[in-house]
Amino acid sequence: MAAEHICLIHRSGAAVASWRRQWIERGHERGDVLVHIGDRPGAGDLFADERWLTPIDAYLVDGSLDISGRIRALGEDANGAIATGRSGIRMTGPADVARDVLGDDRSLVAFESALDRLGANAPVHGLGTYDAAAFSPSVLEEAAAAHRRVVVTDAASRATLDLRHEGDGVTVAGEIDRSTDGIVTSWLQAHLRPVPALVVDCVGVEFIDIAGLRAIARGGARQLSNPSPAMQLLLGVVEPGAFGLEVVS
Amino acid sequence: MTGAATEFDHRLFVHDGDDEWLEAALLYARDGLALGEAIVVVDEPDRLEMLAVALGPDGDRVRLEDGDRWWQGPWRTFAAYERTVRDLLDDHPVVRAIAHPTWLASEENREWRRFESFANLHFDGWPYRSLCPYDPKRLGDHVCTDATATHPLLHTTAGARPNQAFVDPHTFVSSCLRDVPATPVDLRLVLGSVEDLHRVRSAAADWAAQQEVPSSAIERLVLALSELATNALRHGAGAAGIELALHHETMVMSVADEGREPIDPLSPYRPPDPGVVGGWGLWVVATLCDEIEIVAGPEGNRVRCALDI
Repeated sequence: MAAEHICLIHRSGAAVASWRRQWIERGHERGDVLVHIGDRPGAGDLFADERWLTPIDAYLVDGSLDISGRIRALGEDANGAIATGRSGIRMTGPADVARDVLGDDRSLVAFESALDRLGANAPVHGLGTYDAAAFSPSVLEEAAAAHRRVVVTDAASRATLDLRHEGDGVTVAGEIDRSTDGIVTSWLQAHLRPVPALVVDCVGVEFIDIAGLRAIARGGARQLSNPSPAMQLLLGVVEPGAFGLEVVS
Repeated sequence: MTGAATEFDHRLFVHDGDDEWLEAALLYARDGLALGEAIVVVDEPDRLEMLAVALGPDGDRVRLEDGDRWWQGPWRTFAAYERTVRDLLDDHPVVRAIAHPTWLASEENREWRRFESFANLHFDGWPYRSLCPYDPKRLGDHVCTDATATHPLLHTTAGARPNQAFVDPHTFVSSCLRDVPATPVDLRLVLGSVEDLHRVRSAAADWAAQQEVPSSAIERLVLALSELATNALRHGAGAAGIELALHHETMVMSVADEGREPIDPLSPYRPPDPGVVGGWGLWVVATLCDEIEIVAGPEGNRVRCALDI
């Protein structure tokens, strides 16, 4: 099973704190080596046994930009962790810090893409926290596409959108509207595969409007499976065929 | 679509009983068949049976639709007419309908009269002829009186003649909107950007739940709100304002934008083009709500809807 690689897009620090807590607790349960990337906070931190890396140590090789070298080294670190009885490596850190160290948005997206590919075979998990205010919408869309899972949270730290690619399956959940449509389209374009089918599981959709349906269609979907009640309400008043979509059970 | 009629031939045929209907329908259908036109008949099953028997072997070339099944509420029924005509025009020069709006026997379906009127604008230029039989015995006298305002032609045994009582569709549609009550506002919401959509949907749903509105009506409200707010932000120059109120058993929602581009008040009646991904928003709102009214002014557009709970 592929490693976890989550793009957490947030508009408030509250969301980051609770997601980081869960992330680290899961790491403890699994026996991962925990790596926090960023400036170490003061004493009294709840997770004092985390390994802390400065951004330069985390993203650069010998102080210079070498994304493929860095990814190779992470794979070796994961093997080393397993050799000492641990399960893998579990990293988290703010994406804007990574971007500043790596130099630009494009390098950040390239790093995330490489990490996503590494995670397909190696137990290297990553939770990137993306402050929506620190990135342009188009960069957020590209960064989201480079993660197997995307979570967008609102100010109350509730997940408003949750996109998951697990095995061959692609699932959209939460609320899909004009505020998240670009992310949904870009992510589906990267994760939908014609084999076995261009199908999106919609069982967890809590709200969807025309902008949301259009986003799924533009993402390349042809079939919608398990439509939730919110999805059924919309599909009761529009023709899915007009969007090139059909509902399958 | 080639040749033939360039204007929508929309005839009212107020008639007295089944015999008169059968005679006219048979003649009208046979004329069409002789010209290679497609024929669609919508009526009650007993009448469809009568016509099928009378047509004999020609009956196979006529499409018969049971009015009770055909009726899916005004917006979807209108879309079904449009789709049917569009499909039939693929391999016929002209489509002829003999369409008896059987559902008008029920008082709550009277908003269909707006579509009878709007059809004159929508199908203008289509090679489409519709003979609309209205039987006062089956539909009631006042329904047939309404129909004189929505059909530009009157059908007679000698052909069609102009109907002096026909009313311009723009005038007719706006004059028979059900009054969306002007009622004190219970909740005001403002959106500055699409990032606010989630918040205003939650606030509207919470408000409606406090008023003990059933959840199915809340879901319709929230979807309609999202479509209107998204439109208002796209067409508008700035913020969008939402007002909500509960008036007896009706939720009243008003969404205003600051746009300089007026929305056509008839746009909610127009079925979106099949295969085109745009233009669905107002259609969804109109289908979900029980009434929709658009007021376009120099200060922006205001869309008011009523949802019965």
